[in-house]
Amino acid sequence: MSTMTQTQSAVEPSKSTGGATVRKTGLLAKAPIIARRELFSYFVSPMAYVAMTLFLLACGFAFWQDFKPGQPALMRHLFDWMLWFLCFVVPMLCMGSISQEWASGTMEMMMTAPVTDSDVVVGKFMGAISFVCVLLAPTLVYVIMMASFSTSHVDLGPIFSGYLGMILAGSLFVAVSLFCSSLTRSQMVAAVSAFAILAVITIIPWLVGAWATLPDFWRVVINQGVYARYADFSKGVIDLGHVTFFVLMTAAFLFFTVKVLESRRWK
Amino acid sequence: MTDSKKAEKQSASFAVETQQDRWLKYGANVILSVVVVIALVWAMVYLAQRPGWRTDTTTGGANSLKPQTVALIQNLPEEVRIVGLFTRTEENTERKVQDTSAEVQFQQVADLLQEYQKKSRGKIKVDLIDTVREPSKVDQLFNDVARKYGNDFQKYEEVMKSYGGTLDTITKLANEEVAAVLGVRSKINNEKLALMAQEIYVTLQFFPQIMDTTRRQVKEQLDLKVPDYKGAADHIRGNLEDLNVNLEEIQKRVKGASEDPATPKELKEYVVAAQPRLQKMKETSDELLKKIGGLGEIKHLDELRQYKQNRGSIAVLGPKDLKVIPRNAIFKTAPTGRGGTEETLKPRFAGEQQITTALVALTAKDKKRIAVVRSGGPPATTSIPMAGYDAPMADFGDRLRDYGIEIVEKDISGQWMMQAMQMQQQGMPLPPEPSDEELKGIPWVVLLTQMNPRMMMQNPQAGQLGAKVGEHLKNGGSAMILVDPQVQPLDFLKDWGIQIKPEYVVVHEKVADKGARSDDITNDWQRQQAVFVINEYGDHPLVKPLNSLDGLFVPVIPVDTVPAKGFKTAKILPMPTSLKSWGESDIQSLAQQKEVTFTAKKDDKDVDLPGPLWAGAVSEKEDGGGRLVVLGSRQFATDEFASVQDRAASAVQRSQVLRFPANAELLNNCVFWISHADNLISLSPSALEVPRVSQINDRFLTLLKGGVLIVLLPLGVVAAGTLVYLRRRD
Repeated sequence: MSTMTQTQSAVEPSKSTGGATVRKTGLLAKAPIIARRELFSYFVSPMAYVAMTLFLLACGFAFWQDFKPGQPALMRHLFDWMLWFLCFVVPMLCMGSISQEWASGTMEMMMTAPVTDSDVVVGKFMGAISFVCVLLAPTLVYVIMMASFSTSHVDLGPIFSGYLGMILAGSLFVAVSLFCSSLTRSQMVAAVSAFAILAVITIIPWLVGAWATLPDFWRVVINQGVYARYADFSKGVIDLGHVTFFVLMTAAFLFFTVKVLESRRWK
Repeated sequence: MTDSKKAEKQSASFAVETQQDRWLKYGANVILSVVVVIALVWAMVYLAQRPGWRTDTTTGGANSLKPQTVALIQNLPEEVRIVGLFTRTEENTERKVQDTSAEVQFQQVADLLQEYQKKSRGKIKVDLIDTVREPSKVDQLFNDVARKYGNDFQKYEEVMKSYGGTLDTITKLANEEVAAVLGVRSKINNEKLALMAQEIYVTLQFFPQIMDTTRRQVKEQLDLKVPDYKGAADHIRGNLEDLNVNLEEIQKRVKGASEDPATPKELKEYVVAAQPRLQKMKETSDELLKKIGGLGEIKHLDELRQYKQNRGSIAVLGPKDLKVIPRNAIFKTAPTGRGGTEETLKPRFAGEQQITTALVALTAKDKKRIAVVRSGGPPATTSIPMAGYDAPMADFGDRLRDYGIEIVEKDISGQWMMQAMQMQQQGMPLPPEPSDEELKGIPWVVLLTQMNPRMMMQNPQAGQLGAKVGEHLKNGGSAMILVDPQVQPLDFLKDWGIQIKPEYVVVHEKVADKGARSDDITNDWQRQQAVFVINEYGDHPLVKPLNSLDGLFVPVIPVDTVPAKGFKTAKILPMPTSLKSWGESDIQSLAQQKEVTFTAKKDDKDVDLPGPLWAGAVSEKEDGGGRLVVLGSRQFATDEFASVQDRAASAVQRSQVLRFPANAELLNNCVFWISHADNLISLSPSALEVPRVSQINDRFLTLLKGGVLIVLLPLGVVAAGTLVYLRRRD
């Protein structure tokens, strides 16, 4: 997906101003350019189309269950399912974002390019999250179907909060996947390790919470899991604590990714 | 600084870092910054969570407390504690992930209690106790409840403090008596009397043992985690009563001996001296028994203990009293036979309704009461199972009782009283009807039905309902009047700015009876001209929350407003105009199910009443006193209409779904409004009906789902990918 070609062309226009000075022109000034290139790279990758097709098929089957006469015209269950689907799809999409740069040797070139590590990480993150939005966009058809075949006006509030939760959770998943991708040259290892982390913060807490009887302390710990926080969004509640959690956790993983990239300078 | 030192320093600054130095320097830096970032994230998330800022984006506020509840809890006069007694521990593990599982219900209760605490501005404190995992907290709650609400509890405590002295006295007296009997027993030669003395001796010997047993039993009860004072008192009572029986027997024998001339002198001296001692023993015992007899039941604790049988309860602990809400009132299931059974339908969560109602009841100065007043026949809301009588508005009565409203019923004709007396003689318990005096000052729900002229002649009182209602309103009362077609005109309504037109029935133009039958049977009903399904109710606060809920109304008479000084009036329940509707005067033809058409005039006289028409009106004294609601339909309030189940939706959703939720809601809201309990309007869970996927032809649905969801969307992505691939290849 992401190749030196994109990264190089992203930084090329700034060369004229002189490498060292460009770094000081503005915080994350190059990130949007990298993001655009990153997003474009998804559209030329067969893996992205495969992931998108699988995601839509899975969502279609999930929505199939909800879209029945007499059922409440809500998308809560679909949003719940979509979170699990994203757990698998996002690592697939982002596995090569940085690891491919390591594998193809373009990372060394990037070190000399007039972009900061933060530019690279944030740019790749923005590109990936934009693609997640593109991934979610076709599911708006479900909203239209609900609205068209509803006995009265569909409640758009929970749908809005559901998509907001989806994007926030998606951002965290992308940040985790980028972090894992920055750690290794192998795309497969990056995907598996990203999925493992997502399982630890999302799937396992949900499973444990659903099946085990826990003491209060562990109950509090389990409630810090991604699903427990995301569930409020899917039922139509926007909680400042949850929004802060997703935003800051995303920022933290991006920070860790920057630190990993920085480490190549001193290792 | 000397040159040599400068050079030395310079060379030191250019010293080459080893790999280890670099790892140490930069690695430590990274670790430190990572730790700082994690700490910052944790702290900021914690701070963001603390104020509990959250917004509910659902239109009906399905995930948050209703404004009425919020207003109520923020203005509570005193602090209230709400304690949930539930458990996450599931008896049946297969049910863990179902909606009815203990885990899910525990979480629902937890979320709700948190909402109460967050929104109450410190007026409400909540606790959720897992009854299986936190037994010590349960014990603590029982002790708190017993101490806070138990006037009787304090009396019990006093008895438990003083009973020991009484037992000591009885023991001492018994021991003295044993010694006295022992002294005289050897001097008796008469065999019969010797046997009596022996019996007295043996019986008295048991008395100290009985006292010891009592002490032990009481100690056992008081040493329980939650001391069972009632159990302890029962032990004392039981043992003292046994002691008294024996004591009376001894007294009887002693008295007999004292009166018997054959009794030897030595024994006679004893029995004379023993009588006051035995009497003192009896009096001591009686005194304690009297104290115990004066103790009441510790009712609150007994109610609270039911949580085990109920599989959960919520206790609302008010300033002076508490209410215990059992689980089956919080998770309501449909009555069997109305669209499903408890096993097939998912319970409806009515936690907010129940808790708020309990809060109202605990903090209200007086209990709300209403009178259902009728002009004859058996009660409207109270069924009599022994007589096989199902009241037509029994569900209505149950709903109001759930809200803590007491209902009394009155047959104005007095005929039912006579029938009831006969039934009571046959052993059927019937609730008493209130006197006219008792009806004063409470809101009336008046069922105004058409009177049979023959019946009117037999019992003229039956025709006096209108006059009685007029008098009630004149005296400052409030009422809701449900009117049938062709009732006697109620002239006093005009004083309140309301006019009914019982000579008309609202109808709509005939719907062509062609095409396929609908899955929804109510579509067929609506083909009849007098049947209306409405979902617009007007803008009055009484009916505004009902807009968009379906309601079934048949037959309906037009109700209008007229100018009236000193009253605020509003029309409610506009009749739909999507089909031409009017007030039909030919009620006879309608009754025979003949088609009717609008006739404006006949022989220069007005015949039918042109639309638009309304089916109800409300009026309120401008000084905020009496309130009146008039609805041009009585049938809509009956269970037959208000409890119709949406069978298709109930089956799909596995939850009780009413087809016409507005019928019950409208009725409830009217009662709350005339009772000045505006804060209860639309608290009911059924007011939260959500939009549903409408009925779609099976073939079209399959096409839509299969075509769009499974084929079109994924195929579109595949096509886009192929296109990009082909373009890039070229």
